[in-house]
Amino acid sequence: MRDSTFLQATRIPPEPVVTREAAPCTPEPTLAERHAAVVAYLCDKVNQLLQVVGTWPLQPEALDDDILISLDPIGIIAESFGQILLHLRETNEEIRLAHDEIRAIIEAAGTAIIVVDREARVLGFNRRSQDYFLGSAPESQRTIEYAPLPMPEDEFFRVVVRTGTPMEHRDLPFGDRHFHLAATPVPGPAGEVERVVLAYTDVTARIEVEARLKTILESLPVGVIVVDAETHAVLDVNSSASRLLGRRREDIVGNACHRFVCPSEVGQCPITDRGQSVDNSERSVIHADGHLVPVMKTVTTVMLDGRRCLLESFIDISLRKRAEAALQDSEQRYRSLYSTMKEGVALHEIVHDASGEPVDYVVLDVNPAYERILGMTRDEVIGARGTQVYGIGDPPYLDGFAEVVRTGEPMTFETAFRGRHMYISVVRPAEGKFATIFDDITERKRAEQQVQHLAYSDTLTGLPNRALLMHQLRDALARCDREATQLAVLFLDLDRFKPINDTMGHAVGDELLKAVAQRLRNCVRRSDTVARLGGDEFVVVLAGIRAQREATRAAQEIIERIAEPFVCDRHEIFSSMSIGIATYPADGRDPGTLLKSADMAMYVSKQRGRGNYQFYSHEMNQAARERLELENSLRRALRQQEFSLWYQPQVNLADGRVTGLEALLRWHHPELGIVPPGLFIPTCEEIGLILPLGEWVLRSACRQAKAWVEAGYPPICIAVNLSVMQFRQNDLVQRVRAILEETAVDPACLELELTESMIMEDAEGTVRTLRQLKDIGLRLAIDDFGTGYSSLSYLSSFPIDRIKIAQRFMADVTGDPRNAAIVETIIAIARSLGIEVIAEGVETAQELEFLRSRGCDDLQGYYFSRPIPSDAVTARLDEWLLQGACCPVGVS
Amino acid sequence: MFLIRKHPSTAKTDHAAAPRAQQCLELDVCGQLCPSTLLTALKVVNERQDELRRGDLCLRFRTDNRDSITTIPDALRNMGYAVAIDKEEGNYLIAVTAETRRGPLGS
Repeated sequence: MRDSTFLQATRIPPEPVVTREAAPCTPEPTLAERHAAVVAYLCDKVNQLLQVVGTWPLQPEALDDDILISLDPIGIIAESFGQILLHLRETNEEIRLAHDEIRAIIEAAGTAIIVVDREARVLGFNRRSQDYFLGSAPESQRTIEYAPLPMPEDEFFRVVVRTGTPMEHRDLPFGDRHFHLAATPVPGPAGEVERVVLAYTDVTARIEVEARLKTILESLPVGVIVVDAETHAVLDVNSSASRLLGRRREDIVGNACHRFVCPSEVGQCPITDRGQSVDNSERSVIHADGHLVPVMKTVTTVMLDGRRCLLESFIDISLRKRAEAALQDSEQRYRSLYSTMKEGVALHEIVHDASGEPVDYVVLDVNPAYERILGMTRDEVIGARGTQVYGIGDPPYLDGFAEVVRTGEPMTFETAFRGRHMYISVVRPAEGKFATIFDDITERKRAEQQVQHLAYSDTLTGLPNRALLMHQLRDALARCDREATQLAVLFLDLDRFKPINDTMGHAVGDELLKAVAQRLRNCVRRSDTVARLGGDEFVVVLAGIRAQREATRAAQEIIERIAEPFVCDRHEIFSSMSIGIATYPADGRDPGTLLKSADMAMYVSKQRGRGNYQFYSHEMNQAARERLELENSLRRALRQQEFSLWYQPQVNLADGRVTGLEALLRWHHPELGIVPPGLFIPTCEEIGLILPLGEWVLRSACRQAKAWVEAGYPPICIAVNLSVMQFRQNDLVQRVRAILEETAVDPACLELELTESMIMEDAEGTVRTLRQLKDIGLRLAIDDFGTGYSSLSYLSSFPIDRIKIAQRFMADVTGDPRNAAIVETIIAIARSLGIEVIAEGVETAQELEFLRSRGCDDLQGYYFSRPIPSDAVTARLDEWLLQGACCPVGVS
Repeated sequence: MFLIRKHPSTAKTDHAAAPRAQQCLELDVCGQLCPSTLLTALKVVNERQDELRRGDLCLRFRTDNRDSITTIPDALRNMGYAVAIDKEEGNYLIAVTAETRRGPLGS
């Protein structure tokens, strides 16, 4: 690319030719001039090129012309220029590549990038900007004014343009999204801001996370405060912290953390002062009202916005503290209970073998009561195995204990240990352990057994009592229904037990009852029940029988066995049994009815003759009802004065006149007429009416005696029968004395008639009572003498005025020598003891003569008079009191 | 659209790091003044441009003319070469190598 002018100028032709052709019209320049021009031209062109290359122009002195020409600077520079152009092409290519690369990066960026000029006209933007803001707006409208580009405020953009410093905005809401905006100015060649790059980053997710975190933080039960690690000023608190401290948020933020947390520990901050990175400890925070709230505090260091901060969180543990205190309290209470309770407590642990099977247990602890109850000391048992402490061989109750430990279900059982009864409760206080609570129930057990025995058995014979009988009978009835069998209830009553008891004493009676019980047991099968209801009443229950004859056979056998003599206390006693039989289901469907039916049958059996048995019949029910009616009538009779006293005279053989009257009770039944005493006295005794009735008799007799005295008759002695129950009254003497005083009767005119059996039982007690009665001044007589058992020695020591020969000896006394002998003997004994004798039941003159000849003092009987009412007595009394009125005097 | 301006390199200490620059030719232009030194340098560079651009050759100009360390690097950089300047025993040593190709994000 060499210039042709330059070539021309630099070629040096032969001087004449060149010079002539080159300047035909103008004066020919000289060679020198031509040379200078060429050099100047060269220099000029070289400088021009150098300037393009970018360096300084040539300096004239730098090169002389020759060097200039020989160097070929134009060639050099031209060549260099070519290289420059080549390099420029390459550079442009690189720039294009870089532009595309950046373009791709910007397009791919998640940030919306918009380039605007100073006037905020949009020059460029990426796809994300289109999505967010610009949409498909035509290019002409893409300015901040037209396009919906979010800006914090008007000044923001202008400040960036004016100051040329980058600015950012952290949270710019736009629609439902949030953006972080970074505005970066781009200076032009002149240094002033030419463009601004706006980068919008979608921080919606972050803002939402922040909001969520904030919500979480606010809803946490944990108090959180953020503290500046340098200044210890509180930067932020959540609502739990504010509540815990009892202060508003704004009262906390900005203050030193020591005012609220870690009180009085200024300079002791575990993080900033002691170099810990984390602090987990129990501390206190100060509530606004001054009290300390115990908290579990955790402190960690965090970087927030480039600042080192302490993140302190604390949990209110006052509840836990209180619970701990309560637990400690309860522990103490438990301890004191443990050591003072009366039950023994032992804590054990199960011992397992290598395969995990429980093989034994070991004692861990015992309380004082344990030592006392089991008789072993703490030191002996603690650490010892169950086999050593409680038994030899297999550890007692191991399976049960292991089960309690496994399931946690408590267990109780009773056991005996070293002669003590224990009620043992087993509980699981902790995993793998069990506690046994020993309750010493030895005494209770004994008492229970005693109560059981008392409640269900008869103490005398050891037989079941009524309660147990009813129970067993009920069971037996249920069994009958199941097995479709029958059942018989035998109601047994020992005949004549009362007289035996009365005459031979209770001790003998008791012996007899025991012997009877034993015989009854021997008569029946083991499965049958023998019970004693009380007194001389027994019941036998024959269960599972199939026919009535089985009951018959059993009754017969019982009767035969009881008929054999008993030997009690060296007495040989003959007895018999009356049996009533009721069968199930015919005679009753429940225990009560069956027993009642059997009782009724027994009653009938007894009436028909002793030593017999009787099956229940429905007619008996009728009889029982009548008996009940009798009882009711008797009770009514006393109230309604249906009783009266009749009198039978007693005649003195010496002067033949009436010297006394025996008072005899009569019942005027409104429908039945006069009822004899034999029909109702036993019933009165049974229903307890005998005492008031007896007292009525005594009082009525005394009143009558008094009435006759007041009517002007000479005093006459009245004999009154005393029942055994009256005689046994403790206050008999006082009662008699009171009646005598009340009626103002001379005691000498009252004679009390007692039976042999009444006075022979407890003879010593009787002597005392008799003496007291005698002290009052009245007379005492023994009635029915010779029928019971009398001890002659006692007879002599008793203060008896007279004896009354029993009526039965008088029957045929003149025809039967044996009766005559008895009467003679009685009279002889009485006379020799200085006791008067009176004979009853005298009906003939022969009898009178017999008695008179034997020296009997007085007589009584139909021969003289039947018993007659008092007014009839009054009518005849004048006559009776005359000497010889009733029989000849002194005839012998 | 975007205008991307490529800033002129201002690096003064670009070291030639081409691994194939085996041969190194040093030219002593001490005593010469600019633009003589520049022209001398340009002449050699032009003559050996193929070897230089391939990276087979490294040229070093030793000069005592202070202006040269401005003029020579400016011109050679415009031509697309990498130039490094060192000072050695009172002289300047201008090393010229092929420019290291770099992408927009560097290599």
